[in-house]
Amino acid sequence: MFKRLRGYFSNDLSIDLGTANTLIYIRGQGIVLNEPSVVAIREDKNRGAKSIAAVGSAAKSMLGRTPGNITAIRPMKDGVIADFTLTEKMLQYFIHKVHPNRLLRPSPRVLICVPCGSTQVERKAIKDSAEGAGAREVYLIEEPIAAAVGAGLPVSEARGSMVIDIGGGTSEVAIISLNGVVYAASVRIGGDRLDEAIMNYVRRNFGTLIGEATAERIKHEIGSAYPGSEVKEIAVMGRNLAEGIPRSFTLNSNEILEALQEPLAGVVEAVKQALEQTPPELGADVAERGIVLTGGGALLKDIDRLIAEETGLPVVVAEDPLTCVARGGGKVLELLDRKGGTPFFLE
Amino acid sequence: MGDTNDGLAERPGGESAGQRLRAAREARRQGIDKVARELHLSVGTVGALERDDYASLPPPAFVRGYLRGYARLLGLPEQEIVDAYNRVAGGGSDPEPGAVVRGQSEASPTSWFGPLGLVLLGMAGIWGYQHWRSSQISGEAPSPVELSEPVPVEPAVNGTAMPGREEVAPSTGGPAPASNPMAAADALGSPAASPYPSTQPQPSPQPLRPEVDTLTLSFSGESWASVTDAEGKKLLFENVTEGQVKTVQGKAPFKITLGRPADTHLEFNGQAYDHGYKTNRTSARFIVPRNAGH
Repeated sequence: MFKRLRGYFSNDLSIDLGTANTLIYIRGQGIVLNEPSVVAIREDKNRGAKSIAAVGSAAKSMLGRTPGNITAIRPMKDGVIADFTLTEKMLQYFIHKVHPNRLLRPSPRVLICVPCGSTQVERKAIKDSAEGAGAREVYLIEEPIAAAVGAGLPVSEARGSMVIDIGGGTSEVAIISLNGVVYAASVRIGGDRLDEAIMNYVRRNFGTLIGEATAERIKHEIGSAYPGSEVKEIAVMGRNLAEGIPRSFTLNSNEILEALQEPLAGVVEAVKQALEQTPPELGADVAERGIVLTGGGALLKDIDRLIAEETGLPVVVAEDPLTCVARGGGKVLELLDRKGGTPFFLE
Repeated sequence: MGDTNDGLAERPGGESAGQRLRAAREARRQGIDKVARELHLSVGTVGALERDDYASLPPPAFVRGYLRGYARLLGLPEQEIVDAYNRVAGGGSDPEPGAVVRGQSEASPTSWFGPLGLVLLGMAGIWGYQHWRSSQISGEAPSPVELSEPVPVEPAVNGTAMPGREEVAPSTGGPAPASNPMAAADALGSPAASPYPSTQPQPSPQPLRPEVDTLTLSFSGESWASVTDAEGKKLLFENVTEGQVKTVQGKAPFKITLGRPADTHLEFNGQAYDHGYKTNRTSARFIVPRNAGH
C-alpha cells in the first residue's frame, strides 16, 4: 500500500539497461539520464566491508585508474546482468537521481528493455533487480521492438520492418510486423567487442597495451566500418610491451578498419542469416524500404554503407540512434494506461 | 549549420531538399539510375525524393535516412538536407505503435459495462413506470377485454405510456392497429368512432361503458337506502323522504339495500332498472350488475 502511495509521487520510467550505458526516459519529459553502466566499489580491507564509491560517469572515469581498494565494475555483460547486487544498486542510484523529491523514496513503474536472446533466468534477474531497486511494477520488453518503435518504424503495420540494434554488449537483428517479432537473433558482438578488437590489434601490431577507454576513444574518433576516401589519424599513448614504458604512437583509420573487420563480419553474418530466415513477403518489404540501424554502434562511421554493400539493400541510420531503445520504451510506456494496454510486454 | 534556414533560402538552386539534390546530381552529370544503384534504392524512390513527393515514400524514418545517404553521396551537408525535409514534412510524425492490437481490444469488459448498465437501468425504470401506469389505467378505465375489438387495445395501453415500444406489442391482430398507438388511444375515449374495420363477426354493436356508472334513486315514500360500489365505497347511506331523488356515481356493480323497495325507483346509467320488489314488506338487498340495463 505504501508502495502505491509513493507511486503517486514517482514517474513512470523507461530504462535502457545497456552494457555500456543506461538511459532513462521519463514519461512526458523525455530522456533525463544517460550514464555509463559502471559502478565503483570501495573495499575496506580491515573490516572487509564494501561500499559504493561512485556510479555512472564518475565511476567510468575511474575505469583502469583505481587504487587497490577501489574496483570499477561494469555489472552488465553481453546485455544481461553479470553482478546482480551491483546492478540493483546502480538502478537504485539512477532511479533516485531522476526523482528530485527526497522526502519519499521513489516507487515508479518501470519498463526495461531486455535482449531478445536473453534467457528466462536472465530476465527474471533483471526484473528482480529493478524491484529490489524500488520499482513498484516492472514491465519487460524486447529490445528490437523498443528500438523499432523509437526509430519511428511502422511496427503495427502488416509490413516487415528490419531493425539492427548494435549496443554495447550485443547486436540484435529482428524483423517486426504487426506489433510482433517475426524473427530475432542476438549476437554477442557490440561496442565492447569493437574496443577489444582495437586493443588486440594495437597489442599485436604495435606491441603496445592500451586501455578500454583509449580504445573507445580511438573508435569514436577514427573508427569506420567501410573504406572511405579520407584517412584520419590519431595519436595515442600506450605502454610499450618490450620497453615497459608508456610511448606515444599514431594510428590511422585504415588500421582501425582492419582491426574491426572480424567483429563487424559477425554482425553482417547475423544480418544475412536473418534475411535468409525471413519469410519472402516480409523479405520483399525489407528489400523495398531498407534496414534501420539503431544503438550506439550505428554511430560507427559508414557501418550503414558496409551493411548496404554486403546485403545490397538500402540501409538507414535512425535519428539519434543511441536513445532509440529508451525512447521506444517511453512510447510504449505512454500506451500503458490506455484501454487494452500494450501488446509488447513479455510474460 | 546554425544558419541553415537562411542559408537554404539564399541558394539559387531552390530551397527544397529534392531540388538541391537534383541540382547537385545534374551538376555532377550523374544519371538517376546510377545514383539509385549506389544507394540500393529504386529509380522511382530516388525520383520521388528529387520531386519532394513524400506521399509515395515510406515513413519519415526511412526518408530521412535516404536523404542522408543521397546527400553524403553527392557531398552535400546531410543535416541541411534533412532540416529542409523536416521543414516541408513538418517534422514527420512517426507511426504510432500498438494501433492494430489496441483497436481489437477496445471492447474490454469495463469499457462497455458502464453504458450497458445505464441502458439496463433506464429500461428497468421505463418498465416500472409503464407497469405502474398500466395499473393506474386499469383502475380507472374498463378492462380492455370488454371492448368490441380486443386486439388493438393491448398496444393502446402500452402506447399511452411509451409510444416507442411498438415492437414489443403482440402482433396477433391486424398490423395497423398494433403499429398505431395514438389511434388505439383514441379508441378508448370514443368507441363509436373506432377507425379499425373489423373483419371478425361481432355479436351485436355494444356501446362502450362509461368509466363512471351513475345510479339514480327516486323515492316515492319515506325510506332508507344504502349504496356501495364495487370498491366498497359507501356512496349513499341515509334516510330519505318522499319525493327525494338521489344520484350517486361510482363503479358498478352496486350493492344496494333499500328499506322500502316498492317506493324506490332506480335508474342505472340513464336507464330504468327493475329491482323486482313489488311490496315494502321486507327490505331489499340486491346488486345492480355492471351490465345492467343492456
